[in-house]
Amino acid sequence: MREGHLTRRALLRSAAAAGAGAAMAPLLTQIQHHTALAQEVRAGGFLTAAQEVDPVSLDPHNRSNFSSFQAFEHIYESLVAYDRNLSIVPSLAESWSTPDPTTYNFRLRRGVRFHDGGELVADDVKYSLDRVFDPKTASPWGSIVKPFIERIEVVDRNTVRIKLTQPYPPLLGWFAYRRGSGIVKAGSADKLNFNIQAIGTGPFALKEYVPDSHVVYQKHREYWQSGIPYLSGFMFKVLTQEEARVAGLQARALEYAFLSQEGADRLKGVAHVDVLKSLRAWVAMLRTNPSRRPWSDVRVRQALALALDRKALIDKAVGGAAVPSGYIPAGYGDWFTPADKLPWKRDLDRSRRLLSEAGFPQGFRTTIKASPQYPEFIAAAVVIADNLKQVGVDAQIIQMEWGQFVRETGVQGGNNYDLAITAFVFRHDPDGYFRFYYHSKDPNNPGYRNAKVDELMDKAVTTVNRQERRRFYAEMQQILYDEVPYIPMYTTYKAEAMQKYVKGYVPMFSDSREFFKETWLDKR
Amino acid sequence: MRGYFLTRVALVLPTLLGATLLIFLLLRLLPGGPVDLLESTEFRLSPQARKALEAQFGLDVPLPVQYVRWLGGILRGDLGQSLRTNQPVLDVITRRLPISVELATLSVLLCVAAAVPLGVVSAIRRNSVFDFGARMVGLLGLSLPNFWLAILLLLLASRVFNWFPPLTFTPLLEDPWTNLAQMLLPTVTLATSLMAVVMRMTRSSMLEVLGQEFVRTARAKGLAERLVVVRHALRNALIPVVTIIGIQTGYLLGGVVITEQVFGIAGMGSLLISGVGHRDYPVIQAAVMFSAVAFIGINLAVDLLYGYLDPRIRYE
Repeated sequence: MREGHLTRRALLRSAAAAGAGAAMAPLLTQIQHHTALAQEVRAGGFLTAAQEVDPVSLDPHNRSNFSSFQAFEHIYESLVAYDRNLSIVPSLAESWSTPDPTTYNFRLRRGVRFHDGGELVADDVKYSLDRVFDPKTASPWGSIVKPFIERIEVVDRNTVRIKLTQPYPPLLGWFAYRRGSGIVKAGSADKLNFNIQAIGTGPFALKEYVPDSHVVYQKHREYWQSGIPYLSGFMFKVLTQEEARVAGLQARALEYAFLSQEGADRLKGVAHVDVLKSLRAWVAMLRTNPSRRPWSDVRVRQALALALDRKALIDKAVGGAAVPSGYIPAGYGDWFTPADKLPWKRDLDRSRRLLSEAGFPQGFRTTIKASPQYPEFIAAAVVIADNLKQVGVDAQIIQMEWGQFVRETGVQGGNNYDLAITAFVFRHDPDGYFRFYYHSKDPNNPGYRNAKVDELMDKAVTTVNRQERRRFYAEMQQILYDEVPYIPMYTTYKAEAMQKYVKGYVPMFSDSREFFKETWLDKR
Repeated sequence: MRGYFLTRVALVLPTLLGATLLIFLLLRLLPGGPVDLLESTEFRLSPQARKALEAQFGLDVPLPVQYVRWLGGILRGDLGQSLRTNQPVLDVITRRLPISVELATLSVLLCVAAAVPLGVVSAIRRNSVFDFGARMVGLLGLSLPNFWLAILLLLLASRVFNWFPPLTFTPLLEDPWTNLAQMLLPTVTLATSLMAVVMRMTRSSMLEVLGQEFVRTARAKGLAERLVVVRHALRNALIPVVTIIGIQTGYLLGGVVITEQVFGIAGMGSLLISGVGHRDYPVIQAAVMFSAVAFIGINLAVDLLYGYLDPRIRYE
């Protein structure tokens, strides 16, 4: 049975990975698998899927947008990968060793072919990483790791050595994450327009990309993992309007689509469509501006945290499809704060008391900025404004076009906001949920300063021992929960709808759809 | 006539130059630039990375230099490169334009074929049940927002007819059936709102003409009513109608932003909106410029049509 076989292999690998200092533990989240165990896999067939955002670019290295990752994740691979439980497993590297905490030797898998037939060698890995870390590439996700990289060496044709400046346990996670760590053929950036062309080693090769319309992939016939992908190819049709995706599923023109809770509800009673619901790494954040009065006063921030009605937020913003969350999204390995340990139960009296102590017995006026790019955040803003009113704070909601919102709530726009709503998605390491926002050395931190937080964060990211890391993060989060520079609200469920005959697809907590590689169609 | 034509063309140049300046400046006034849009609220670029990108995008020189460079490029037939895809903008536009042109043409054809006869009959049978009905429907078409109608049509097609338009664009000459199947819903969407305007204009214009003396003369000399209406009245009534159609065609050619997006059609409209979404300056500039040129061209064409419809109008 293919299923059992894969799981066992994945388990063995994850054990190996954990020994090598993997950042991620298997997720405890219950995931429904869209599989029929007793059935024989049927290979072949073309899947028509909808893509909810037009991919910004196919360049695997220099874009921060998630839509880019959604488009190139099928084309490019890295040294290691995540399995369905987000454990780290070998990918282009079949094994690796860490003779000391600052040295990684990756042994490349032999016989891996690029989509153009070329063979993967150590030079390709070095070329790719050099490109990522080149300042001219301006790679957002590369810049996270760069300070820890001393040099990348080609040891022989199939071995790459990475020397680090100090121990950095998130390294493997960063490779598996693939938002900046995709391996391209040496020299190919000069020959191809990476924004719209791509040659990788992944299970699917790019066949056609028409911006604003569609992306077509075809099976990589010489894919190193034998037997997959099952599909002969698939298409992402760009349909930004959810109504169009719902209509397409209903009319059987689409076979896969990502939906909101509302969209999923509309497909209730459509017998030929299955909707898979699973927790996703999407933690909605209410950002305060700690450099601006009165939010610079910790008591005012605490008063806000106490005023929030999380149940109303979840019901109104995402139709109930979410769970309360701390700084790390609920479901993120064993790193996140469980719901029963979360602080800030609603307490309006205490909230008002804190406001009085801070010198605002009559409340004050403030603003909440949010972008209708994500309707969820506008709905959340309405609930927050209503909650604040109950403790005497008059919050005006300001809706902004996305580009303007990004600028105004960032350092380029002078952090011009009081409160702002955003969400953080999947990260390769817990560090990714803290460093850019709360470390006083990070240029993007809007003004929160705590030397103890800096210290714990720096220790956690360079400590190899997993239990110790967990302790550092727990201690650091206690401080953050107490001083609430940002207020985490909830982690959402996602809904992925597909025709009943689509089998083998596995929803990922990271929102990756890489399991298209094991998806097959149970139809003639 | 030639003198007039030349004067008009000469006037087009300053208009276009003004348009370039306006587009260029308005875009720069938009909060958030192309580099900002490469960031997200979760993740920001380092100052060095921003500098590198600004240089790569040609945004590291003063605005007047950027403007002159852009103008110089236009004169050489080089519209620059998309900041998002690195493709030459001219290529992008030539690939998308035929789609928008076809959509606009089909919409206008459908609209004229339906709206002009309806307007004429409405005028002849003034205040009849037919007239009221047509006017009601016209008002409805005018009031329905495009995106709403587009979504309704999609839902109707999928729920009632279990049908969804083909997903990718096929050129008309390659496979007319697939092509028209894809164009059907967007065409109906666009024609509906257009029809309302054209029908109402035809009706009121016809009413005006039917009350004029030459129509009475035509009837007095014993012409059949059909000839009176079609040859005498309609032809005279069409002038304001043609103007309206011309203006609307200009809008359609510029790309119908929302409709294209709902149906996932990669025409000028979705190019413009994704261009704005990414602050892809060269693409937005070129798309808006194209729209301006299309308007000017259509106005010119409409003027020429006047001459055909009413021989008294001559360029002197």
